[in-house]
Amino acid sequence: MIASPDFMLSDADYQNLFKYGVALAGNEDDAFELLQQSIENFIRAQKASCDAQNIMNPAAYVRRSIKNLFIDRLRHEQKFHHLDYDECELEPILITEEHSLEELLITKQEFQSCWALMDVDERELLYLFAIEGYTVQEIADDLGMKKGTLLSKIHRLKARLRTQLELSHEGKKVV
Amino acid sequence: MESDFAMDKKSINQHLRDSLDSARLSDDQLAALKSLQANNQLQETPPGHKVVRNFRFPSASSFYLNGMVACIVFFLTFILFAQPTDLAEDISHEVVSNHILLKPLEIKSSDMTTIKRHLSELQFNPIVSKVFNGMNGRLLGGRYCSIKRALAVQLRYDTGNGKSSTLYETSYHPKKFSFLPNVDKGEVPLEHSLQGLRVRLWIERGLVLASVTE
Repeated sequence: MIASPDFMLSDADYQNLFKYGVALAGNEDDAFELLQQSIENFIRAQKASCDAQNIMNPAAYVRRSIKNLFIDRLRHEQKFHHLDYDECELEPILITEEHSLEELLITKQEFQSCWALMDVDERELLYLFAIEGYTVQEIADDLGMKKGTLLSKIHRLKARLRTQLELSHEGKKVV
Repeated sequence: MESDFAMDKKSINQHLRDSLDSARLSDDQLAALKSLQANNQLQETPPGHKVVRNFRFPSASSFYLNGMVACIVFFLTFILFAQPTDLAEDISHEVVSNHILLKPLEIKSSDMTTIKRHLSELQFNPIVSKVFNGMNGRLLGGRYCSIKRALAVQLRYDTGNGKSSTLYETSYHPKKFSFLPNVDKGEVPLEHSLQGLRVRLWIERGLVLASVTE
């Protein structure tokens, strides 16, 4: 089979996917390994012609594969805890939540301590906002979730970050 | 001081942008990934898939009859043959890819007990295979890998003349791997060639094994 050029990732795609891997894994070695394995998964899926809809967008397919592989690793290390936001008792969400993460100003040190405590979904969410420049609606579409669910997620993330920051300002250890 | 501290404050998005700014694939890494994709995409797709993808109804006049026959044949073929074959092919592609990449060994040792002790996360006891024993060379070491998302071990052997072979072992899951031949029941391993390498798949002592030899 001669591949369609559309199915080839561009240099920019590779670099962005690598950044995504670094955002999730926190280091470049793991990010490269995740990217390499995901490219292999993509090739296998392409050969098997399964999941054709996703393969139409190779970068999105590889990004999802990176995330899944990373979650597999966390599960293996028993560090992954999934929270289903649809099942949470949602607090009222203001429309301003869409931009609220931009309003939260923190130092580099605070960012690093917050980042270390974020789960995979939260890191992905921030990556899509900050690096890919997606809107809330685009992220919701990309992740296959409702906009309201995503907004509630942002709301909770912001609330948690604020609590963490307050605790760190008070000198308490954040767990 | 207070004002300097305040000036360092940025949005969380900006911090992320700053921290990922320097994260870039090196030229070598980029070339390796592009080559991986380019080389694999130019290979032949397994014949089973090609038939399905290229299938076209021959004419409008015989649309219904041909359609029904095609569907019956397709589903019978799929049920009887396609699933195990596809899975065997998937596993073969996975182990061949692992073999070619030659990722660093996590433990370098020719002693199986040392390797087992080091790879303590494995949820099974790696075995010295009777089937593979005949063709192996000198055991170089092992590393964690996966087969169909199940945690596996890759054992690498030096077979001389600059060639190597790899043996993969993982837990047996009846739902996934029951189609594989069980050598303990006198069955013969599945064997085929892929990318110039000889791949064998079998079940032995309650484990799934795959070997790749050059």
